[in-house]
Amino acid sequence: MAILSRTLERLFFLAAAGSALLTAALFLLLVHLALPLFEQGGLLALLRSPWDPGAGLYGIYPMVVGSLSIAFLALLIGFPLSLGGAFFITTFAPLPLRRPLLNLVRLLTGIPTVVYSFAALFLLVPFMREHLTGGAGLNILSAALMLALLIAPTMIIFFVDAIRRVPSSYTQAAAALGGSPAQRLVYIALPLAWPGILNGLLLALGRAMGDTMISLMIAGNAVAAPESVTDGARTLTAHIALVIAADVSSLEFQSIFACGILLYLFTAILVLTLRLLGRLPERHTG
Amino acid sequence: MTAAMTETAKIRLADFSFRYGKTEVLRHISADFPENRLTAIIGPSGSGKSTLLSVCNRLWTEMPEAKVHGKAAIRLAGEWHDLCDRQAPSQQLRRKVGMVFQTPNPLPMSIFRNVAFPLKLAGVGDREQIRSRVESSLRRTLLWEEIKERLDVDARRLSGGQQQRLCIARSLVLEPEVLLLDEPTSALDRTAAAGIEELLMRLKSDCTLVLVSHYLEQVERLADQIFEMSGGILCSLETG
Repeated sequence: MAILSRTLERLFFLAAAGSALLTAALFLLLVHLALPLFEQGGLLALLRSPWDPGAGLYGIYPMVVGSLSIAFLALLIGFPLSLGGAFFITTFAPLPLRRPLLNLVRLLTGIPTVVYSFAALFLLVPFMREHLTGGAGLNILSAALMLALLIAPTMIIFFVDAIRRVPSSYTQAAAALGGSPAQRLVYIALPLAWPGILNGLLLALGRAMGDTMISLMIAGNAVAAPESVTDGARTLTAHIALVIAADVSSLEFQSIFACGILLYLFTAILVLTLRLLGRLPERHTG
Repeated sequence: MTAAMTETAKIRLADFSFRYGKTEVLRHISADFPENRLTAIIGPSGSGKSTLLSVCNRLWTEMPEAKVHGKAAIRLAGEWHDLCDRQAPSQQLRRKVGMVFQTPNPLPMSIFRNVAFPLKLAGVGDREQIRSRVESSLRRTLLWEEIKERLDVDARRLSGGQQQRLCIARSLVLEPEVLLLDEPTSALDRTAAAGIEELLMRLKSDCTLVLVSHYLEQVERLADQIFEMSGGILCSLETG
């Protein structure tokens, strides 16, 4: 038995070490593949310069701006929406409705993003074109609205979970002292659930940054850096998807590795932030 | 039931039954809890004592599977309020019917904020008034002298006995007419428990107390009227 358990232990260690090594190897591979680009003047230069393959410029500045503005705008729209949704499911909805609603939200997380994109293409984009922004209707605002809808279920599930994990002794105490459901939510549940809410927010941001299909189909894919939310934009992910058909040995193709590195770093920073937040001492409401 | 009892009844139950899901927790209870007296309910755990308390401040309405039959009412400021009505707003009622739980449950905030919390819920905004009411409530529970220098400390850092007295102070700050106490001393050591008992004796003069307890000894020292709960049935015991 001892041999078996020692063997298993080693096996698991190898598995863990293997996945850690893979993650590191992936990063090194990306850097290695992007090296020819860095010889032009490094990652920072790439981040600052525009995309103009005709002039030999393979900068990804427009995509960085596109990715960040779409992701943060989506978060800006989706966060209050999701918080409201979580409040409704945990506190204000009639009791028999709460579980079905949450199940519905869970179902929404499973819908492929291409389906969301199709819906947007046939409903949201024509509306944008005719009533709001004009143009093709393919712009940052359309993509962000759709992306907000995509990440909202993830946020709602995290928020509901965080609110429900608040010890019932606290909410019961507040109820016995004459606190209304809204007061219990605002004064007791929300401050205690805050770390979990932040957690869901960061994960949703990661999902918004990483999404490819919606930005590819809805954001317009313009290579110029956007100046307003009604401009079309190209995200880092969409850029990778679009350029991957180019000649493998071209600098144009190699620019997608720079995009990969950026997305990798962004995700790593998010994960590290989550870890650090998890280590914060217990917060109290006073 | 005599006419005198009828006049001073604070809480009245008549053929009152309580079901939780399929379990019958309280069966056909009829009793009067008189005003400005300490009524004690003893009995084994799981017999329905705590449930009976949760009826008295309508906390039972927070349980989705709970169902009530019969009559239960409480008289506040001279007016009778139906305790069986699930839809009736309970915030006002709970401000006049305080509750102290078995395990001290200070909220995760400072001592001062804990006691001031019910005032915040009730919409009292005047800082000076809040300060003086918190102080007088802490004095009433004999806690003021011990903690007046550390009002900003997290309440969860107090000792068990202090936490329980803080919870009583928190209930008293709204000047309730009724205080429901669910085995308030069972999580405390002997000295702390004696402190709470002494406090209850003093509160009786201007507050109706309903005490649920495991200990017959404790109840005999304190109570004006004793009931025994067994299997959801409430019987009156002779008081000594």
